[in-house]
Amino acid sequence: MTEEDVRRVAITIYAKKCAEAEEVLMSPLVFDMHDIQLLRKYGICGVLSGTLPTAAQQNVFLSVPLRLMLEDVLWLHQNNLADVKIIRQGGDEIIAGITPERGAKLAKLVEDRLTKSFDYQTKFKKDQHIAKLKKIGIINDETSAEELQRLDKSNNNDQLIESSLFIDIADNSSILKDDSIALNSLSCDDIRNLLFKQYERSEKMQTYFLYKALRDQGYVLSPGGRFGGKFIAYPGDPLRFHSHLTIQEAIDYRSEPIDLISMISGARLGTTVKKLWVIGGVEEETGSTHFFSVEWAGFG
Amino acid sequence: MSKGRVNQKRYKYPLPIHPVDDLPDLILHNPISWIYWTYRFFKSTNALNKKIHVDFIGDTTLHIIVQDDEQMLYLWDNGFFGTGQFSRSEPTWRGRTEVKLGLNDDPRQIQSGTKNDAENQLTLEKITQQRRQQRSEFKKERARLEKELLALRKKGGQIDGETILLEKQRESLRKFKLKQTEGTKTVAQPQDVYEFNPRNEDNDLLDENGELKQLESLELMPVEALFLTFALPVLEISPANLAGKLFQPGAKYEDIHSFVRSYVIYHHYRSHGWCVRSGIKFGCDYLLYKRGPPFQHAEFCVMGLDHDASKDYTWYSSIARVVGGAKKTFVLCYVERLIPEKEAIALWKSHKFTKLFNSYQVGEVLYRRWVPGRNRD
Amino acid sequence: MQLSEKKNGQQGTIDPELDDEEEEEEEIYQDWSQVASLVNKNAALSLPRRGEKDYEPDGTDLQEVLLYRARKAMFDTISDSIRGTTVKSQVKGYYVPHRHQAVLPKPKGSFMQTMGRADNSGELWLEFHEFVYLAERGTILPYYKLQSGSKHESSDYDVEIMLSMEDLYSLFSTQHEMDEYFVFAHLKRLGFIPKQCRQDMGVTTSYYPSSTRQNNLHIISSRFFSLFKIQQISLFSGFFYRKWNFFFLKYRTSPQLYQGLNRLIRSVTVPKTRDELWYSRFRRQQERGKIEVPLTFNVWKPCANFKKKNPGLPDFQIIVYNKNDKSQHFPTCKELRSIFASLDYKFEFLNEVKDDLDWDANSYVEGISRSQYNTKTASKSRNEKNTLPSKSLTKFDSQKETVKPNSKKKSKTYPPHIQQKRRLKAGYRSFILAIMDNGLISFVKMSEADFGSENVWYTPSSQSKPERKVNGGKAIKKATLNKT
Repeated sequence: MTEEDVRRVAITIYAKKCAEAEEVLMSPLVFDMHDIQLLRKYGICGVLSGTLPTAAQQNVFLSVPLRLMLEDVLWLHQNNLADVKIIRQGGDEIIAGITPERGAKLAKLVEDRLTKSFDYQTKFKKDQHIAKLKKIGIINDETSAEELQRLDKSNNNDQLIESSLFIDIADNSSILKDDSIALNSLSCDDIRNLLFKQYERSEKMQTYFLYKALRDQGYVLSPGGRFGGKFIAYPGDPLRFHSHLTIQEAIDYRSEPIDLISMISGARLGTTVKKLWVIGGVEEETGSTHFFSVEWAGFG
Repeated sequence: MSKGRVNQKRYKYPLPIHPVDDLPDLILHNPISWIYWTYRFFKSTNALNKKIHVDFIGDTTLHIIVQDDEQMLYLWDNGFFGTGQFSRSEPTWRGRTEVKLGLNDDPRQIQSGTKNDAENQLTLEKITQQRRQQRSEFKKERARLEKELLALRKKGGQIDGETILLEKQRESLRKFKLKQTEGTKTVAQPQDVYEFNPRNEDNDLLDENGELKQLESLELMPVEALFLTFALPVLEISPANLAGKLFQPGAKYEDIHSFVRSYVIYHHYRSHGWCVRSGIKFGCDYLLYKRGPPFQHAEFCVMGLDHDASKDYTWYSSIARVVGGAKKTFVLCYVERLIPEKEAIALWKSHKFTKLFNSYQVGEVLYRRWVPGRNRD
Repeated sequence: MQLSEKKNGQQGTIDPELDDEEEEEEEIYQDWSQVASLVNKNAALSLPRRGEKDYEPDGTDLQEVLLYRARKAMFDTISDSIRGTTVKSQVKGYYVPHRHQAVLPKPKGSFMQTMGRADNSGELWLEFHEFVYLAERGTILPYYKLQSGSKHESSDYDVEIMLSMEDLYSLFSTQHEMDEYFVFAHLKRLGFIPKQCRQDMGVTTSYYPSSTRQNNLHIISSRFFSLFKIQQISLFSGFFYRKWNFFFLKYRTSPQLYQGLNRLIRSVTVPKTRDELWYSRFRRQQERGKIEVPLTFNVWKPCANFKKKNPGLPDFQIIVYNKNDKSQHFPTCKELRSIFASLDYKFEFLNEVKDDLDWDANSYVEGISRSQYNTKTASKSRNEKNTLPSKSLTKFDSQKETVKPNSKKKSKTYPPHIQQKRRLKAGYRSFILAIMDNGLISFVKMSEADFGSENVWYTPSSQSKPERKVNGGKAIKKATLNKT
């Protein structure tokens, strides 16, 4: 197995104390482009939620950060595909805790990054400029260095380039990368327990097992609220495939009654949005998951 | 007569109780006219001459049915109450089967009770059948084309090649669909009669005279039945007796709550002029029609909720999706009980239905999908 | 930049039937090659546009290639789409933790028209969510200034650290705040102008006048309504449901039958006119004192001349709800009523009655009508500047204010049954519920409805005049509608 196959994605989750002094995990966000690409290869697509700067007035195509479902993180963690870090300090606390020395270091990091970027941009622009001049015919390969310099000065080229240099905002944090931040050293088990505890606050564990069963088979799962379900399932990458399943929350299908009107509504909805209405549950004794689909017959 | 005029005549009265509207003209200066008018006035009555008989069948689930042909039709024509057990809504089984078995030489007499229907319309059932057939044919065609596409791909086709084929296929499917819609029949043809080859079993449907037995009944929802006895005296059973059939004497409030809530909602909309029918087709409690199914599609889908109910978001969103897809408006109808449970169940047991139903309050909230992009103006 | 929305909505199968369907919020097929072409002109040449998705993996190489290309288009576009500004046009914003806001010492840019609050020294203060939005968009550069040394030292040496997007998101104090931010950004991107309800706005406009003026109205209307209450109880005798009803009474028309029927079930009436709205607000204030506002955002539609200090009534109001958070729940009826009662925006249903409604004349700022307030401030600033003659300026201002409602004048008046249908389908007071589902946002419009005040029965008679009826137990019905 190559190194990349085993590479784990870094996921950082913040834990906040809420009103009842309970610890609540914030939704998992991923900022690193490479991690996002890797996640996609692993079958976790998430929801891109940030403004795309070059097309900032629409909501169809969005950029970093990628928002994950807690099920995604649980699955990644259980399959050892992610390095999950849980940070108990609030962002404000972390920032407030930056000492002057560390601050200076961080500022230097930014400065270095920008300088590198500026150098690259400057060179690129200069090269472009030269190519342009060559095309027009003002200069050629034989033109001397002094001649080039003179041309630059007369056009205020340097100034122009400098004012048009692009300052970019980083996606990933340098502040957090610093080990001097008191990040709780939680064991793998601790993290798992925290994640499951958070999950069970709002969902049934069986719902995660439904997710897991489908995910293990290669389905890509997305939030399904808009389609009247818990998840929608794609047989592969959403960029390439239609989803044709709407999965409901898990039920104990052997003892829980199913409201008939809900079933009818779900089946009818299935025909409206062209997805199968699927319910499922976990068999207590064996732990295996079973799925059932309901379709409105006679629609043709 | 046009279909519209026929419907106006047939469905003249919105309720099974008719107003006394056939009083003679009153000529004010003529005393004889006064006498005659007064005589007619006192002789007239809104009440039905003969109340409608209902039967109760079923062990685990109670079914309330009307079996008499005339009475079935009366309930349908005067407010669209009930559903034919073998039909989509209006009980048309007998008429359709007569045509199907060739017992009726006039293919135009499909709708029961209207012999001289100049505009021979296909029944709803026939239209549905046709629609389903068309859809199945369309799907077969589409599947065939998809196979073609896959074959090309497996052979190692390129993207450009695929694009060209796709366009061609789209065009071909469009043409296919067009041909289908053009061929859609809305009018019964003579040849339709002979599609069906009678089977041996069909003989069981005939009585001694060789006429088709009426096997279909009109089934009433419990709330409809209660409305037709408690609110309007139409059925031959008293509200108290009906209540006794629906629930056991020892019932507790939680047993009757759901029914009472349903009835309150039913009565509320009926009494404001709506034709209220079951909404099960759209996964909700009721559909509201302005005059009735033959006139316009239903505009509203109603779901009844308890006053303090808060359901899972998925519940609201799936119903809204189905309702919205059918271009109707989703109404959440909240029902609040204004008296304590104990009092309510006591009123029920003592059959004081008027007071019971008067102790509930109804409020509505519309739930509609909102798209920001469309509301920027 | 115009993204053809239709293309995005298409599922792009070979089934033409699907093309006709309205695929608004449906699975929006993302064709990144379109956007890629905008970001990098060269990209369009190398990526053929693909409009088709498949139903299942078919194991072909072609499918693999298509997938690879689709992913590449997406990731390249995102990577190429850098956040930031040029050196020349950079605007720095500094996060201030104890205020959970950001300050911009040298603010400039068109965003200032709708966001932020200037203080006396000319610096602009942004709410935290505005700060994150502008940084994410690349309009401002987010910084944090470290105060070096202890508080006692006044040193010039302030260290500035540029914050990353990850840092910014870590500063949200609760999940709910983050969800609110996502909804905010979603609407902002579409051009709307959302402002938090709890935000200090400058001048707030309300639909309702302050309580002193209502007293007179209250006396009149409360007597009016209390009269009704008495009638409601006494008139309902339930006679209609007695066995001997049809023996004694003769009903000559179907409406009479209906009217006997519809007194049985009580229904909640909702405010439909200005007076009713005022009365309802007054009653609520009496009962509960201060009106609690559970709303999240006031939202204004995209507007070229938005005045952030005095924007007027919002076009709608929004509440954010996270469906996966069990500490939240879908509002109950009682909660919905409470929300409806606290709404204060441009009640669009009033336009049905009077289609040239002048919102400035019908909303209040600091106790007086908005139009009065505007002319007052206009003349005040004019007096201070002492420039143009009074008449022309006030005329100009009042013209400017009333331009908007008049420009959408409906010349059509609908027949009564259509009006009724519109009333029933649109409802009355409404708010928008924004539902957050693990990153996906949907919107729902919740409106008050009142079927109990409308009668839709049909009579075959020729009687068709709309009557104003006082029906026991219900508020005044606008018209008993009979079809001709």
